[in-house]
Amino acid sequence: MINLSRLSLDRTPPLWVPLQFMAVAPLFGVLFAGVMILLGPQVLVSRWMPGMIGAAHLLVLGYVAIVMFGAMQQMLPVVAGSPVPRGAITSRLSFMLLTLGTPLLGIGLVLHRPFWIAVGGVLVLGSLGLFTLTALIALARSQARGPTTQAMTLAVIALLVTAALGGWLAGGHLGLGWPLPRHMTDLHLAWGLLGWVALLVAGAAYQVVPMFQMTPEYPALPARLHAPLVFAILAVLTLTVLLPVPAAAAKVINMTGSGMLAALMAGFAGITLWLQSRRRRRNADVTVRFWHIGMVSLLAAVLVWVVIQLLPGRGLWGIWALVLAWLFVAGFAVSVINGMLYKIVPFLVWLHLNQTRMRSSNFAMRVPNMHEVIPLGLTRLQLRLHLAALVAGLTALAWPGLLIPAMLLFAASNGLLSWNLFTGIRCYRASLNASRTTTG
Amino acid sequence: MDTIQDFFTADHRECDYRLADLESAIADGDWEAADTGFREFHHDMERHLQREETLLFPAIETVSGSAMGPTEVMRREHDQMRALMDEIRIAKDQRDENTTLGVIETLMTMIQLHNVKEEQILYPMADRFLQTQRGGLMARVKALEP
Repeated sequence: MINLSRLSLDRTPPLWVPLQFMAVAPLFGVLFAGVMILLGPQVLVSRWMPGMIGAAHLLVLGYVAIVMFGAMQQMLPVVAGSPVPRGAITSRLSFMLLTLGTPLLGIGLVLHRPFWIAVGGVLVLGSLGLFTLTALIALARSQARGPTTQAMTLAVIALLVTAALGGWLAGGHLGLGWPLPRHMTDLHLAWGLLGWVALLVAGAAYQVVPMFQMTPEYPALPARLHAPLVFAILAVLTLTVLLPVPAAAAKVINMTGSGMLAALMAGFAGITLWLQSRRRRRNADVTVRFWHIGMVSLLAAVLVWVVIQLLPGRGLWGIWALVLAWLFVAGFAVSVINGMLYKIVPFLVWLHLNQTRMRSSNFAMRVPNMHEVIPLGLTRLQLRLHLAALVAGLTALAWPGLLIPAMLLFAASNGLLSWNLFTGIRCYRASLNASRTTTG
Repeated sequence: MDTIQDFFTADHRECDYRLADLESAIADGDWEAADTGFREFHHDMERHLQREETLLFPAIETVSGSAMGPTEVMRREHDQMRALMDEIRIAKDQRDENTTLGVIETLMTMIQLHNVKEEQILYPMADRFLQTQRGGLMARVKALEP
């Protein structure tokens, strides 16, 4: 006799669990744009400007992390057959800590307010700690052993390392007495962007790209090796900093390691674009287009990284570092997330309404299909705004005077995204109310 | 194609492709191709669902001793898919392009998420627990026609 009691294939969390994260996240994109406008073009001088560091946290924690938390709580029961333990309370708590902590930390960094940085930092660390712990428990319990769960596990561990390094750096900022070497910031960035964000996107891509666009599967070997290689290289680069490695050797390891990371990122983007070019579903919906933008941005980011290496005096200084960051965060991460939201939210609204209909046996209840949940015309408009904001953002890095129009576009794009997602929520409520009228 | 995993996964892909082709026909406004496409999709899909409901799931339920576990969830989702297939047929017969495409998108997403659970979890498990009887089971599965 086999015991299937721990195997649950239908533990979809309540609708509010993922949606609270997803609908609020784009508002942090608006907040980021607003802060950048207030800081003005002079913030574009370097990545070390405190205003820039604060604003970047608003976008990466407020937008990227918040959506990913919500998405993982939704995805784990499906792709890993293993829900997050104590889902309701974990979700509520990690959401509240992150949405309170992120603005405090981000704006505290912008305004040099040690107290805000400390309180915000503690709240954010609490949220990240709670999320990573519960996600790792769910992943460890999972019976699925594919490249997706593997990449997700490594991504979550990378997030933990990022948070630890971030906590260390925040401590340094607060004058707790330890030094703030710049290579620690580089490690914090590398673990956060290449470890956590890129691996989570890759893990999700192995599932959703073939699934929703009907492309061939990712080739098995690259999919298996990508995440462990990225993780191992990050670990080696970190150890090179922490251990007394002779300077000459450290330089060689650094160059080789970062070159391999760049190649792995380009490889992932290239394979994804190649698969998408062979998709069976010919209609390119907004989600496919967002993925295209994301992958082209990732390739462009790698290209910019190569250019930086060839520049005299190498090193991530000046405007090129910001071009790289904008391409990676706004171009790659934000685009892919934005595209996925337009699949996830309409489907969840349909799923929960349909479950209500089945449970109540109220078959007169009308459940809108996915295209009726969020008007397609508005999603296409938002795609154009996003693309315009991306290009304008790059242009502003060359001509800082264009910062304000670029950020206005970015705010408009994210404002409309949030509006569209709330339209989905309104559609859910309206359908529920209508069904109560038909039963009553 | 000896394992449950390989056979049923390939069967999923064939149904997926039929649905994708149906979607393309409708987006092109080719309603004749859509009628044929729907018939083929519906046939393959129903055959797949019955292969699971009448052969694979009962075998899993026998070794697990319960019809209330994951197979029950899968059966429930099959019924939801059948309801969406009906909606597609009605909208298609009315030549209502927007509704047909919207319901196809919904069914496609629902099928994909359902497939993930089966391919990642249920089939590998079935291959482990049904090893001794797999030969006979798969012969019956392949022979089934709705």
